[in-house]
Amino acid sequence: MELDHGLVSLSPRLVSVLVGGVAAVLVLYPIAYLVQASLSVGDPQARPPEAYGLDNFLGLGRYAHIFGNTLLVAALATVLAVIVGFTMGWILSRTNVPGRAAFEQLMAMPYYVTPLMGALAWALIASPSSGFINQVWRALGGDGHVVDINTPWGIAWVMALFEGAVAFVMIGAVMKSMDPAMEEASQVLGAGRVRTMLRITLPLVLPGVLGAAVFVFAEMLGSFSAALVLGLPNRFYVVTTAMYQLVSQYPPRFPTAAAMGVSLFAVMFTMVWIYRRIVSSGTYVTITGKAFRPRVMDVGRLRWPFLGVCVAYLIVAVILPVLTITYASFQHLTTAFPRAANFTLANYRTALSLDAVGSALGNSLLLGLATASIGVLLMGFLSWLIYRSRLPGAGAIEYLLMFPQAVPRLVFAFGMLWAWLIFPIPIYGTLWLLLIAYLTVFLPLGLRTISGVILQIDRSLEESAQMCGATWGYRLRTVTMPLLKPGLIAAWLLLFIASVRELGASILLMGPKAKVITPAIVESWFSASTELTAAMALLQTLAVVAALVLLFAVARRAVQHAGE
Amino acid sequence: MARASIEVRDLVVRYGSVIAVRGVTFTVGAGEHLTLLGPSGCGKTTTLRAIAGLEKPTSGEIGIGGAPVFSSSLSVNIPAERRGLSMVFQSYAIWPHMSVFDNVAYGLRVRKRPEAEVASRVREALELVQLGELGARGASKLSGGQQQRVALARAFVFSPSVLLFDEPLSNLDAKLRAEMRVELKELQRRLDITSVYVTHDLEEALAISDRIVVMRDGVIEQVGTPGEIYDRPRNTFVADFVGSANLIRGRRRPDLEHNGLVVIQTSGGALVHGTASGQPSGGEALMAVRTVRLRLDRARPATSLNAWPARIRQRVFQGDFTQYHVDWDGRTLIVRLATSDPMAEGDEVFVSADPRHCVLRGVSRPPRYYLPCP
Repeated sequence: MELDHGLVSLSPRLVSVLVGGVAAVLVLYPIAYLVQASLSVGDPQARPPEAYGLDNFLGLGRYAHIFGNTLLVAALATVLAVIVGFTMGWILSRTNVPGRAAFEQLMAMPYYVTPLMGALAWALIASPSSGFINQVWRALGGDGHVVDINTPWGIAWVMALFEGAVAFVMIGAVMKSMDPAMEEASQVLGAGRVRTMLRITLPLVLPGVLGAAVFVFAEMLGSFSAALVLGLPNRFYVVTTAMYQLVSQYPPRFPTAAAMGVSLFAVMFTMVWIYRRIVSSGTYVTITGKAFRPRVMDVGRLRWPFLGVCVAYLIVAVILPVLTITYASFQHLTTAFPRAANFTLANYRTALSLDAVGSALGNSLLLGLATASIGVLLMGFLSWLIYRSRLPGAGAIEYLLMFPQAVPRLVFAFGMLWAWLIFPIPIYGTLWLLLIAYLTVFLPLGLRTISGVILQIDRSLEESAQMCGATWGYRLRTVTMPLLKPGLIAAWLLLFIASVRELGASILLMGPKAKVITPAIVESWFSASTELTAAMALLQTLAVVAALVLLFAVARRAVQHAGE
Repeated sequence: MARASIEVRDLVVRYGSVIAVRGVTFTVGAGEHLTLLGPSGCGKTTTLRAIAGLEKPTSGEIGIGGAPVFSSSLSVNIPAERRGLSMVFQSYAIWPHMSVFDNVAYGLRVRKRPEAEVASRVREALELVQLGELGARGASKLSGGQQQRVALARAFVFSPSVLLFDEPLSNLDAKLRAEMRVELKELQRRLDITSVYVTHDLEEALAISDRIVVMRDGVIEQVGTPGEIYDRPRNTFVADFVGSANLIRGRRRPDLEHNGLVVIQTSGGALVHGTASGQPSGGEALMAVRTVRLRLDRARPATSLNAWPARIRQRVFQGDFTQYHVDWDGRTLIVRLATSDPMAEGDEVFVSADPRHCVLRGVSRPPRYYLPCP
């Protein structure tokens, strides 16, 4: 009896150690190569490095302006995004603005529009020479331009529009989780509305706002697509775009790029660490796990201006970009003033005839399917290991797996480029490498989504199955997995969409024979026409939507068949 | 149904530097209903979970039906699912994605019973908890009381050798709790099964137990039948916890003792006569007088022993009785009277107690610290 008990408890442990080990290799192997490359001081092309030293880091002084640019853009964008997030969070969770519930759902839209699409659209709207706004300005008799998107401000503006939705989710959650009794207590004790706001509400939400600001700032430091699309025309570089330039130019300067990547990673890692400290510190007591109905303030006539703010945000972040891209995709030459002769379907004909679109889109959808399906299994199991199995060292595994959060995807891809170039199995330049890359860089996304659901499931639900005599495999199948199903479906969708639209890692890792769609769109932006690019971007979005509709239809039919 | 005895010996459960259970030893006879009673953080739930196998003890031995399920000396640790026990959780832990029927059938299906047998036994179990018609309903659409009954049915349907209860009634409202207490007792007797029950509610413990183990700070303070625990609390902690006893501290006065009565003198000078259980010790001592055993009179009562002048400070009407807070000897005594003749706040009265109801106790150790029960 004792003996085979040993086996029973060994099997989950063994599985845990194995899976944890695989995840550690996925995450740490590329990072190790990134660090190695940054320390290489011999021939920059030599593998393995001929000599080691700190020269690459010491030489970064020449690029001080690039680090300055990065900080400037990130700081501007963070301030803007937090203002957007705070304002929207407060309006939608604490005031009686009309249509709150609908707006809260709509606030997810910017995430689906993506910064790349936003950057393309805003380039059309506000570039200094041909931007719609400036065209109108000149048509009205103005001179030069009134807005210029190809500036640090413009880049920060586009980044903030999309990160604002992230800040909104984080800050809105804090505001909602605050026990309204705390404010009511203040008012009952005689404090007015303003005093309550200043002395009670603000101090309570401040740690949450600060946490969101640090998190957003870290994301901004590593963001890539807006800075690439809007900065490159003026040779305005941030760290990620400079790294991309150093790697893709000839001859490539890998060690310098690696040193930049390691520096950026160090700063972001510190930021994420600070964020975690803020979130886990004791001052963050507004989250009590108790369900409250957030107290909604009657703001009277101010409801209409507030409604206007919400609508305005959705217009600049979602409606305007989507309309602009759609409009441009049907034009011969895009101008602010539509003419019947200018409308055409030629861009779509060209796009569909291009191999870059046909095969790349197919590859992307295939990769999305694979990443989402494998990812949900892997990340579901990892979440369960971390939050439920009471495995010794679960905290360390979690830390390790959330690691990619602190590494810009481009930097991570750079490490992978080096790591898998010398891997004995030739996967470099194939879709397999992209699959591995996606699974690694999306670990934090998948884990966060699934663990959110896992943590809501009371541990006693599994324990009671155990007390009924169910073994761990049986419990997993009959209790844990079915309860996790909504979370797993959400994670699958997020992973699928994120994979199909991934840019930072794909642009470095895709091979000439295994292209994916998003880098192809960026390529077309710089080398072909704006209108063709717009058509490609729209095709990508339509393909994602069509794939999802198809999948749901198939899944529903499968469920119905099973039920018959 | 198979009944099994439980032996727990020198059980220690440690979480890092915190010791939740510090060397607990007791046995539960086959078919006996034992309750672990104590304030939150006393280690009672941890002890129960260690018996269940959901918590791994640091050291000690646990045996069920004579076979060791945990033993630090033999390095045995049978996983929970193979101990043949069952448990009702404080949160009920009803699976929301299954119907009531599927919830209850779970343990039988784990044991691969034929579907026909599963159906008939689930029906029997649901009828036993008076939920006969609810089988097809989704488990998430049940009220608290109904969830409680489903949890019960699910726990006993597969004939476990022992049933464990982790504060099963604490999430119900007072009225439902009182009803369920009676039903639970009835069910226990009907199933004729060994059970271990954890609660912090004295009335619950008194109502449903054959024997009660009172715990504090991870150790056992007293083991006894409900009557013993209630009438003869072994120390001040149990007296206090079991409820509503006034504890009067004083110095022993052996020189005044006669007729087998013991006497203490309070710091205010009052002499309190009482009886000693066991060997009375000298020096500092405590006299325990239950709140319902004290009398209040407007005139000095005939008895010369244990009658003192006092003053009513506060009166709290509580339905079946009225609770008086009485200033006496520089402190407050609590007196509960069922009489309808109310005394007013500020009244000068006499408080008295029969020496038979004043019980001399040892001075209990101070509490070390309280830990939250996980």
